[in-house]
Amino acid sequence: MQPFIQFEAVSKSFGAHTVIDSLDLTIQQGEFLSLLGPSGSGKTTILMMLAGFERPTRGTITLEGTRIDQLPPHRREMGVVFQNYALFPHMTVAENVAFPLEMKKLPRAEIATKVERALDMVRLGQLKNRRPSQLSGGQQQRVALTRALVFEPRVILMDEPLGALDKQLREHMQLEIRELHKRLGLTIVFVTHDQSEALTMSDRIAVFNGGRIEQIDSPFVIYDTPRTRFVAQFIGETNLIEADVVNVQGGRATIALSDDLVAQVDAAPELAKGQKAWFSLRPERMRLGADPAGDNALTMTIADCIYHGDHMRVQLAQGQFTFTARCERLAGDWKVGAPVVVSFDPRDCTVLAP
Amino acid sequence: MSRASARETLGALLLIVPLLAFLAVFFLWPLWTMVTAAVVDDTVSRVLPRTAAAIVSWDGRDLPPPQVHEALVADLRQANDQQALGETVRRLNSAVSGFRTLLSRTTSSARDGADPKTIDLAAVDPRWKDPRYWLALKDAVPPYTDRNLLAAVDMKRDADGAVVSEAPGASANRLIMFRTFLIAAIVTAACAAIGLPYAMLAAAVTGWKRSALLLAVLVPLWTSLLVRTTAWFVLLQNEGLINGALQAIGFIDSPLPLIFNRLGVVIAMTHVLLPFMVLPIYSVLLSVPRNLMQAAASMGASPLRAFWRVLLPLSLPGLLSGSLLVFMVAIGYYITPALVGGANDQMISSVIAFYATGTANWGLAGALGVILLLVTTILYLIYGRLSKSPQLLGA
Repeated sequence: MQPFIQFEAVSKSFGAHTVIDSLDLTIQQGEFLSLLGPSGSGKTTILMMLAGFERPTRGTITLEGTRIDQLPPHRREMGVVFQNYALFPHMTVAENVAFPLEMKKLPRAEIATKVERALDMVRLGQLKNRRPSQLSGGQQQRVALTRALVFEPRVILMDEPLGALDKQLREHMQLEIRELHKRLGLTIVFVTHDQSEALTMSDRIAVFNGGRIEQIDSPFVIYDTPRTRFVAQFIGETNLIEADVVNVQGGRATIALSDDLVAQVDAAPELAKGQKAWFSLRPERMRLGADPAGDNALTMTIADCIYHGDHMRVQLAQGQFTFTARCERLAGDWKVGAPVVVSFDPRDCTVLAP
Repeated sequence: MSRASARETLGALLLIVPLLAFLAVFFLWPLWTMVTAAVVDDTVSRVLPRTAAAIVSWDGRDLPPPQVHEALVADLRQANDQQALGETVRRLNSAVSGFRTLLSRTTSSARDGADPKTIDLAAVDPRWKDPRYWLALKDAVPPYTDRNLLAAVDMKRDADGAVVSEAPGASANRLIMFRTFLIAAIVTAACAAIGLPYAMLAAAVTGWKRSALLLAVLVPLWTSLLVRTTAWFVLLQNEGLINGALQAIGFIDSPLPLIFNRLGVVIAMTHVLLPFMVLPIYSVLLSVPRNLMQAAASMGASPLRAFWRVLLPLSLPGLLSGSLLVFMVAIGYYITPALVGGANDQMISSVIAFYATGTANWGLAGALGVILLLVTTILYLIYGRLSKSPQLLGA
């Protein structure tokens, strides 16, 4: 896949406040890229600049080699789906969907056919003469999506489009959007603050923090090998503890969380003896009970057991640290106060720079 | 209803009793008086009861029988209420002029003479041989009349009782009513032309800019009439600021007539009525989400097309309400056209004032008022339907 959209040294300031500072980003054609981050991290600003609703203060944005950052939004040929759908209240569903085709000055018969087909594709055919106010949230969302797709734009931009839907509908729409992406081969840029949504839908995730991209990788890599502390904490759950690097030898590092807790981890090249580092271990990677084959076996005390239906969460205490482990539900095995051996694979933990 | 809620209702009613009393006395009662003044015509039947009773049986041909003559003399002898008699005289005089002297002469004869049956009215005054006076008397007997309402639209009943138009030049009510609607329409159009972009600007900006814009349009409404009028004189008169500036930069050679004519009236009324147009449009626009225009742009609509297809249709309900409001208020305007307009710019309210306070023709004043009230009520009902209809607001 060749570079399709390129952000080069893009900065954006609102008055004295700088939101984005010299950001580089490459988007491949046909990929589903999620821009993930907390509120105010700049992800929506990037989307707005891509759509043309904001201009970058510095830097350039190119699409297939052509510079677009000075183009007005109505000439960029990008479909946009907004969080509040932005449907035209004075038009029917069919008229809403027909709008972009009318702007392209297509013949009326062709518009009618395309609208019909587009609405059938999302199963909204029988609602075509209703007004947006007469539709449910999910239906409005599908109309907004259809409207953004019907004129076959090169890029689809989505600004937290599923935020206003309830959980079940949201999950259903996530699958539908993914399905559409695979079927139509579109390039989709998707802004969200929900990390599980990003993990489910994306080819790549760009994790934003404070106007900068901390890591941009496939969901697997982001989850298994977070490169910064922020990414480790923002994506999924993790136990994050500050530790000292005691020794580095032959691809393995020994790190000490405290005098009693010492762990063996796979050493990243930049780790050096005497350094401070952050030790990250995901709850599902911790195994309770002795594992003679494991390199790491730490003794901890069970502080609490929380039942979650399909799994248990066990709070473990050791000294001043608290760990959360995720276990299969085994009723009655874990008694509060009892000591237990916790083991984990050195390859399963991540050591991050401070 | 339980006792507690009955008490609550009573308490609520007591709270609004002062307002209801105020409205009843100073609004409903005058309105009722105006409506009744337009159609009630009972002075003759009150002050000359016997004449009224007797003249009813007369068929209107030739002259009435002697019983009617006697009844008239008897009534005039007994009429002691000078004010009521004066009303009767005015009423009859407005039908056929000459009644004032005729009746005063007849009244003095009636009081002097001894036996009513012996008085020969034709001898007292030869005008009593003219059927016109008797017909006018007969015509004034029924307690309700439509003559005022007809006169308000320049019509009358002729000798046969058919409804005909007044002779041209005799009455100008229709002309003035039409002129009132025309001026109100011009002012409404001017307010729409200025108010729509103004409201769109106010809705688009935020913070202090928005407050400043709204304040600028409301302040004329809150300013005293005299201050406003003085300001217009200063601005618009031949030696005023506008003419002075235009002449100074050489745009014109002699001053433009900007005041004491139709243009002055339109300028002054638009100046004051602008908030009635701006605020409804502004409030409708506030409910339009900001990203509708962004969405339109993303779908290929240039700013002009987005305005035409999205923003304008959505602001139309506000434009409609604003227009109705401005029109309704404008047709009742009185002092402003009187102060800033010429002789040809007087609106219907000044005519009503003339009849009411000038010639004390409460009947005609009431009738004109009734017509104005009718038009305003119809417009208000339309306005009420429109502002309640969510469909139009696209909600």
